[in-house]
Amino acid sequence: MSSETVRKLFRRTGIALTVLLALALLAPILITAAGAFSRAEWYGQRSEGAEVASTSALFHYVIETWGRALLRSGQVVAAVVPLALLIGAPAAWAFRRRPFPGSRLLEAAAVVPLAIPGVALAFSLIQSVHGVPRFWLLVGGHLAYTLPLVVRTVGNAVETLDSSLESAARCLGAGPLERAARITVPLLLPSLILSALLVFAVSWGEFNVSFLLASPLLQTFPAGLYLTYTTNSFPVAAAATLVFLAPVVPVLIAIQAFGGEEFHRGLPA
Amino acid sequence: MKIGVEELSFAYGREPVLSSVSLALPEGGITVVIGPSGSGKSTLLQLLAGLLHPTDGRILFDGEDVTGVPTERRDVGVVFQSYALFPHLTVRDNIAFGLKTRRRRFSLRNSRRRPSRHSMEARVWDAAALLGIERLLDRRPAQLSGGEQQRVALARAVAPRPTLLLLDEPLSALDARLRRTVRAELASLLRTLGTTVFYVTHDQEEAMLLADHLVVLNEGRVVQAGLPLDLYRRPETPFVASFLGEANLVEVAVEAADGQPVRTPFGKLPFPPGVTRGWVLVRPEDVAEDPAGCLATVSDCRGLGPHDRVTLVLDSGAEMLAHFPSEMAPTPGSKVRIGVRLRKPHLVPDLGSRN
Repeated sequence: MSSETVRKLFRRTGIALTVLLALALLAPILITAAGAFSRAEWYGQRSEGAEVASTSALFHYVIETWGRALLRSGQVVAAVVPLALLIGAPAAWAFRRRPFPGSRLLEAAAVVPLAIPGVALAFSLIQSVHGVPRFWLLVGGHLAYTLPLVVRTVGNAVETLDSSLESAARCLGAGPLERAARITVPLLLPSLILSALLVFAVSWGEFNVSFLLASPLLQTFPAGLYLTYTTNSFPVAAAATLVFLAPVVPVLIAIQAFGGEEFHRGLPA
Repeated sequence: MKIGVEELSFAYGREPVLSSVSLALPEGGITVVIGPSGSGKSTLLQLLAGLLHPTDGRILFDGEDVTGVPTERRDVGVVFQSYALFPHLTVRDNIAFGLKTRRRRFSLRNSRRRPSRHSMEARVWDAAALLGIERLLDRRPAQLSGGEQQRVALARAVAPRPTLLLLDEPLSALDARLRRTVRAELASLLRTLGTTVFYVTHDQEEAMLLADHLVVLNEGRVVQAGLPLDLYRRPETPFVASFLGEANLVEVAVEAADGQPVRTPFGKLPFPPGVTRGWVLVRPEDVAEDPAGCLATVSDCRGLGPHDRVTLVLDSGAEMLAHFPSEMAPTPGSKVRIGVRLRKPHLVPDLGSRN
């Protein structure tokens, strides 16, 4: 075999493997989508919402049942994304630019929550924090999982940012706020947007902490999703899943668009 | 405005970087600080800019202690080694940056120092014209060559008309040919500006060309300061002698010294009281072929272009470096007779540990 044929063979194998992998990842979504547009009676009659017949009625039923959970998820995300950025980005900057004894350790420790099971984290939050409304407890739980993403993504971007730019701005008379507004933030913008998208994706889909921390009467949507799979017929659950995925897909595409290297460098090790 | 530092010290942890440095920068003149890497010259610049804080000592601007004043209120212009142009701003906005911060800073006070919008545009244009970069105003730093970036960095630093202009090895990122052109331009530009300039370099030629006042720094201390040619011709220590250009230090020893000039083969030399050893500085250009001179063997010869650099070994075994006119040098291994022409021999006394 000539080297040319070998190279072609490798390339084709590579393409075939990529397609297979993509299919394997997409398959659950495709099956779910198919489920949402199929007839309820295929899956038996005894679960809730089984009487829903047409596809539009199916989505109508899902929105009606889980509208409040959707709203709550929206509220949580709306609180978590700005908070994660407001806390995480300055912290990431401080870790790199104003290191203090133990700051490296603290930065490493910021990643630890990612390795703690949501159940454990949720229970420790319930046990240790009192007098805080459930909503903010929930936001706190989400921050524990999303702050590491922000600290890592923004931290890596700060690392590649020439610190003499900030010094130059100082010498030109810019105070701390002006430096942040006119130099640091604009130059870190790609990584800030990227981490906002990551935080959104993680917070929107977070289940463990949400399921335990939210009050039983007011669940977030992923927790609601779990309930539909246990109590509703498959088409209802599938339709709910598609509703859940609707805002995530554009975000994931945006991450890819913004992503490139920064996205890969930004992922926690 | 008179600018100076008094007994300035700086240390990273326990590592001393600068040890009680005192300097007075001549008003409106160019002070060049030269020293090997690690001598603390860039640290000194950052202390003057306020980007670092001294562990001890004072910084005075016009007699006023500014040691505790933060950089942004110190009214200094800095050209960084890397230029540090803001990559997301156009050249125009880069140059206007310092003017805008001043406009905001003086916005509440009805200050005469607050530039109007109109005068801001004019000043950006003036700074650009001064450096011949008017046609680059709408570009971004990434679209500029190294030489152009250097000009933009300088325009940005001078546009707000700072009290003190600090330059940190501003030519080191340019290639050798460009460096020579820019160096000459920079010299005339800095003199036109009339601002007090503090210029850090490790390049001896650059230092000689630009300096009104030359400061040699080594291991965090000022070794010698003065007029550039004075330092070149009359160094006080072997370090200064060999750091500013190439030097032959010919050892001379006397039996006793009481402060009176002592007779040596180079004539009468002023040995300080109690010092019996020293060196006479012989620059390579002071050595020439001389039929009446002493015999030496040529051990190496390199043509450098303007002149040939010749290493000679004297009969005593001592080595001596000489510059011979281009393509006039003898071949290695041959013998020549050389003499030393010194209008006024200079003695570098051996002061022991202080060297």
